[in-house]
Amino acid sequence: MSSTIDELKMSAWRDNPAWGQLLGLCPLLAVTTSVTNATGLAIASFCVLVTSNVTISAIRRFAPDHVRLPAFMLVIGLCATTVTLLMQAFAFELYERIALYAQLTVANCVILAHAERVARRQAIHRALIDSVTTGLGFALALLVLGATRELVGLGLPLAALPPGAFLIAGLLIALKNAPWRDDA
Amino acid sequence: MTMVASSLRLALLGTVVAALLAGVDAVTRGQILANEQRGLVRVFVDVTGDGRLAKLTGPLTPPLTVCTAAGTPLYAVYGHTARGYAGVIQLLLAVDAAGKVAGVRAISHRETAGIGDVIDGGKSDWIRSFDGLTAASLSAGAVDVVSGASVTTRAVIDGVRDALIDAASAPSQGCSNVLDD
Repeated sequence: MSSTIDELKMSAWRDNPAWGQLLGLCPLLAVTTSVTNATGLAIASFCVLVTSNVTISAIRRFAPDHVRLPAFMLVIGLCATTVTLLMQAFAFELYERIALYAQLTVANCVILAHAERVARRQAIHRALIDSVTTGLGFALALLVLGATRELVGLGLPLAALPPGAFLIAGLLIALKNAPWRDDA
Repeated sequence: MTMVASSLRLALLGTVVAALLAGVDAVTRGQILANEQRGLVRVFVDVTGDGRLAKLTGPLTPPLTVCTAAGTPLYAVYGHTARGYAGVIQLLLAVDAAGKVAGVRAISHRETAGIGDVIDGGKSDWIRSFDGLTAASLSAGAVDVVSGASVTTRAVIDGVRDALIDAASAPSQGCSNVLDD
């Protein structure tokens, strides 16, 4: 149990997929103009990450090793399309705000990286813990960036524009790295 | 594992995935279509400011002529494409029976956030300054260009004027949508 909490802390902070591993930055920077949009994409990414990684772990002995990438893409595509269609059917207003990026979760490298590094080697429960903690870490990154940009954007419209995304994400990454520089 | 065996497994996986997706599509399709229709009806209510249009049924692709149950035309709704600062601006405009603008909305655009999105009805009231105008009053400069967003707002003003001129010269059509009482 404590290892799960440790893993959660790692995913939230040191190994955060966005600030630590610098993965999935394209949707991160594009969608985080507001907390609402960030929440929508966080939920979509989380669902796709967890369902696809658990599925990949479940079929890890079945999927042929040297054509595993097409097999992973099939599974991730299935999960991303399903989540997109479900959002369209049951959360239409949210879907309209993030439509393109919800579909693009299929190409989110956080998901593929964890499929390749964890899910295809580990049992289902390990893949579940890993994808849940990673998904929460990514959601946290989205929400912090979304909240910061929306708040700063009230006074400084630049924060809500694309350059603002790069500036604020850069500052957040710098903030994260600062305490670790000493022991590097 | 041989190449053939791998290919067969991949093909099997692909077939399963395709079948699952077809299932999800069948389950969600009706709801998604209904959502899209409802979204369009909301846009029509917003552009005319007339709550009666919430009951709009029938084809929803402009141009529309919306009539009362008695057959009196209420609004003509047109789509128009303008070229803005950063690509195409899709305009939707409603004209009342007297030929005056009942409302205009930019339903899709890629203008600069915080500058050109002054044309967005949800962010600024500028687009509402067209309400009640005609092609003639627009040509006479009834709506001002917004400084800083002059290319964008000029494109919308010209687009609305052109759409009004096109509408006036187009042959009048029968009712495409009739509102129930």
